[in-house]
Amino acid sequence: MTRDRPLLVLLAAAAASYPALVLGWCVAALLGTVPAARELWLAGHPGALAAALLVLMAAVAVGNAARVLVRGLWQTWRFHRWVARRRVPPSGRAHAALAGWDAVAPVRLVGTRQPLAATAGLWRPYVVISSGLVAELGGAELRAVLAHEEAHARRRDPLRLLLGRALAAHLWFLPLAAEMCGRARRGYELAADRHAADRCGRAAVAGALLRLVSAPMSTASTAAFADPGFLRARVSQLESGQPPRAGALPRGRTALTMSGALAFVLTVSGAWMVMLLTCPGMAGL
Amino acid sequence: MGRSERGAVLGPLESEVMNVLWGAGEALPVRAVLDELNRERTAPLAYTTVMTVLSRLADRGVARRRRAGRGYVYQAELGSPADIAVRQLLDDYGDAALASFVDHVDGDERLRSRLRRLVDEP
Ligand SMILES: [Zn+2]
Repeated sequence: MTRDRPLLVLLAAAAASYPALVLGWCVAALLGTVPAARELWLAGHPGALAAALLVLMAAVAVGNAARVLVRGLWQTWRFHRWVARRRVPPSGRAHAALAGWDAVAPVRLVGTRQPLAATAGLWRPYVVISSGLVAELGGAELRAVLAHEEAHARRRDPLRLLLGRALAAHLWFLPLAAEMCGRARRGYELAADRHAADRCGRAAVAGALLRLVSAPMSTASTAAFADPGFLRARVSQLESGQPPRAGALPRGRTALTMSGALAFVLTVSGAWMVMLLTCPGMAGL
Repeated sequence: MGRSERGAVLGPLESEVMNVLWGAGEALPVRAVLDELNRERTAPLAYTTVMTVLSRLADRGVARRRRAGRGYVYQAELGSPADIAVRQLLDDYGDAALASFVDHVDGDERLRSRLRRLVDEP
């Protein structure tokens, strides 16, 4: 298992925010039930306002993460069903290519003219290729694509992606979280390319990329990921054999993230203030 | 998914625009698409409306946009409503949890020639 720093950063940040979110729920309960707390709120005490803001931030965080997770599960199920319906037995060239393929993850062939290669499934990922892809690529190139997808399947990249997206949605008040999620995703792609180059040679990987970027209907992942700069990074990695260095963090997002973190700390302090002022036992601590 | 496979992935005006692009078989400027659409309309569409629809179709990868002279020309990128349904499915899914080999972006000529060199090396 290779290092996955961006995802670890996201996990750590989300874990760090959790105690504060729980604090938010406690204060919400206080404001609802304890008269002293309600008085603070009615008097417009800054601590009470900050606590209310924390509750709001927490609610949005949990709601966002839940939405991304539910959507991800639903899309996975939908894709799974589509693959099951379009699945065809490998014949001709596909059969020849798959017969000699020592598969680590199961490979399914779907009958559609669009060139498609993907890894799907969260817990037991499988590789999907389309008859359009087989028609577009030569044997060595096809094996390079299979090796790339196999790397995603082995590391459970679809699950990591979903987790990363959910964590970034949870940390909505820190815009760098989305940046980390993008970095994680680019890291998976680059790692899969390295695996494919090791297993099949870099000429085969380059050949597959070349055919698919110039294919008339090449299709696949999201518009958000359709990023010519990233293709450049993949090509550079093939040329040098080294993963490209991650660029500097974007300044604007970093500044916004600092502000978001500061706002979060302020709301947490406000929430503590309400706790101390309204819980008799705690004031004596 | 049944919904999108029946073609609901395109709105009514989007379908009309795509029909013009499919019928033309070559890249058209906005003006030509507009004229074709307005041929049988009593209430003609505005230029900006058609331009907006075309650029949205291009953003979604359904049509392809290319610079030509001072403006853009548009061409159908996907061959049929079924292709669009597949693209839509993949885009939705890719958003959530798909890891796929290549995105629908054109490599520029420089990148392609770098790739060619890698392919040709001994
Ligand atoms: Zn990939």
